Amino acid sequence: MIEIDLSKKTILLTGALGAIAQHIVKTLLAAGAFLVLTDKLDEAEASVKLATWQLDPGRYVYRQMDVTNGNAVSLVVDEAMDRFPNLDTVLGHAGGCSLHPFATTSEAEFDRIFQFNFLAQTYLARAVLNAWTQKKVPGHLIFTSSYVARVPHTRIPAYATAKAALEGLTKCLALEYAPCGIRVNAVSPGNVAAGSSLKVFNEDSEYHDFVLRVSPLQRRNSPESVADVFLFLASPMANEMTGQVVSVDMGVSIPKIG
Amino acid sequence: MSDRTELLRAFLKRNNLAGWISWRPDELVLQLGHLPYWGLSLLLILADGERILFVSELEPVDTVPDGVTVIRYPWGRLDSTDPFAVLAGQIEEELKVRKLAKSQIGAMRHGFRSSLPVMAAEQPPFPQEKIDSIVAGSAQSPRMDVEFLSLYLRKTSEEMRRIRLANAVARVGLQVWGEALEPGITEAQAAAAAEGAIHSLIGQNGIGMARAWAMVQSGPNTVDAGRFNRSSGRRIEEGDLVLIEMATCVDGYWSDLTRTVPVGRISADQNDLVAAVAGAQRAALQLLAPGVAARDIDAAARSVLEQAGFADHFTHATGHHVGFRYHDPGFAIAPGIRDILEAGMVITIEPGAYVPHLQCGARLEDNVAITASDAEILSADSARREHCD
Repeated sequence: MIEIDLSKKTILLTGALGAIAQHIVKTLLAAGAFLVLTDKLDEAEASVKLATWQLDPGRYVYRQMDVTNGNAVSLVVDEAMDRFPNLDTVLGHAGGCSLHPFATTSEAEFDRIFQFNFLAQTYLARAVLNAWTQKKVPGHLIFTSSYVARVPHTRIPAYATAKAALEGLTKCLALEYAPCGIRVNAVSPGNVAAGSSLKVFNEDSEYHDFVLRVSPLQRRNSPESVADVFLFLASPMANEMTGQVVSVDMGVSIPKIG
Repeated sequence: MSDRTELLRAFLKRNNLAGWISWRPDELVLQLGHLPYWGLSLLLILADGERILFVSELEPVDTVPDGVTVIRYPWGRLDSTDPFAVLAGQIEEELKVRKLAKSQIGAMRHGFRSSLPVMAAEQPPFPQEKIDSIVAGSAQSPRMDVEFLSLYLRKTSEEMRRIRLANAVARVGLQVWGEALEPGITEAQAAAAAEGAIHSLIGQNGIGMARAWAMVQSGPNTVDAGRFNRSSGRRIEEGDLVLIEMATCVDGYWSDLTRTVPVGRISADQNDLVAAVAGAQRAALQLLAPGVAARDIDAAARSVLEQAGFADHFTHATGHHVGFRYHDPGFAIAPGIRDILEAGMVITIEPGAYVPHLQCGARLEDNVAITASDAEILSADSARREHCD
């Protein structure tokens, strides 16, 4: 029997209070990892939310961190790296959007979505890779992408291009940091029955029908199955992978006609 | 009961006091970890460990700490109520119901520095005569003030964590400052970049208050940096040395840092000066450990600058205590000071040299915690822009 044991690992997760993140958190905790959870809510608000998840309180800490504030990212990452020498895995998971057709999306809103989904990941990467390079930690940085990075999609232009840029960044950084033994990968979910796409799925019948039509397996991803891919990547089983985008998307990104 | 309460109780017992009154913001941070908003909070600690905090009714609820008895008094009302008279009455009443009305209560009686409250534009003074009226009759001597201030010297592990965070915040400000430096921007603009970055960290990582006072001097202005620090409208030029002196406060815990960096190519003289100051700082840092005398640390730094020909230009002490204030009370790291470093102390190491005939000065300042066996630099720069190769 193969057992995944992450009990010697500390993992930092951005966007940790999100709907998919909840399943990632539970899965990684079940494998024994210690977690540094970060999100934009303050500690009091976060503890109320985390209480409903019924996690083992001794296995994680929470830090308020706005991923779009590069200085805050630098502060929180540096402090976490100093405090937890085993912090060798970081999940850049924060992201998301609502529908934003190009024609009716202001320049400022487009920038905001692009910054949140792409530039903020560069702030995280800068802080994390600097710390690991300095401390000589052969760490593993794992971004959350989306199938829309490769499969064109209407009404989410800033989000889709940000995720496309993020996949490019994943490969560039994997190459640049390979000599240090640092690995960079990404997970690319399809339409997940949780988080921001769930809301749109329920509220927009056109999107609802579209999602079921474009998924070859004719279902949406469960957040549990997405969490399992993070578990695999965080485990020693993925030790020889870098620069990869791992799709867990019910086949939605398979090129097809008709 | 916290370490701090135990220390204060022992202090009260040694001095036959029934209680102690604190109101300066740094005293409240020391006793409660509480940085008052208005600077109008007054703490009465009794010999049995009970803590009664009197706060202005305008004090934000979220800055009032848990685990203490809180009594509010009027402030800023449109009627003619004298808030300090009400407060004095409340204190007397609390002492009376505890049968302590005739007991000796101590307080800092003499003029000492104070850190700033959250509302840092001004520090409203508590009228000394009101404090005196409560502590009147006690046989309090100046020696007792000094003994109270000695409680500042050794930090608890939780306080060390908070001072480490203040330094981490300051480091972010210095990083942003370093990236902002380029020919053409003014000293004030460079200072504003650091201050703005630090202020914007409020709300992140559990930080309720973060503020910095950054003072940037460039080119010939660095000659004055041993006497005073201020930012001017001077534009930074290629070939300047640029110095930043920065006080950073995070929720009442302080860091005090200085960096001096070149912009563009600097002259051999400037380079020699910076190298000598860096060598002096390194010599002092290497010596830090419990049991080492302050004067020996100072001498280590001073001798490096002497050898480099800058003996007359190192015009100040090598360091001081830091943490509850920008400059904590306690002995200086200076010539002739025999006091000994102990585990838990946090000091600055800040040699500098200011050389009029070279038209430049330099200082490097870090904050260091003395540990059980050696020392930990709390403000070490994170190595940015390091390549992976």
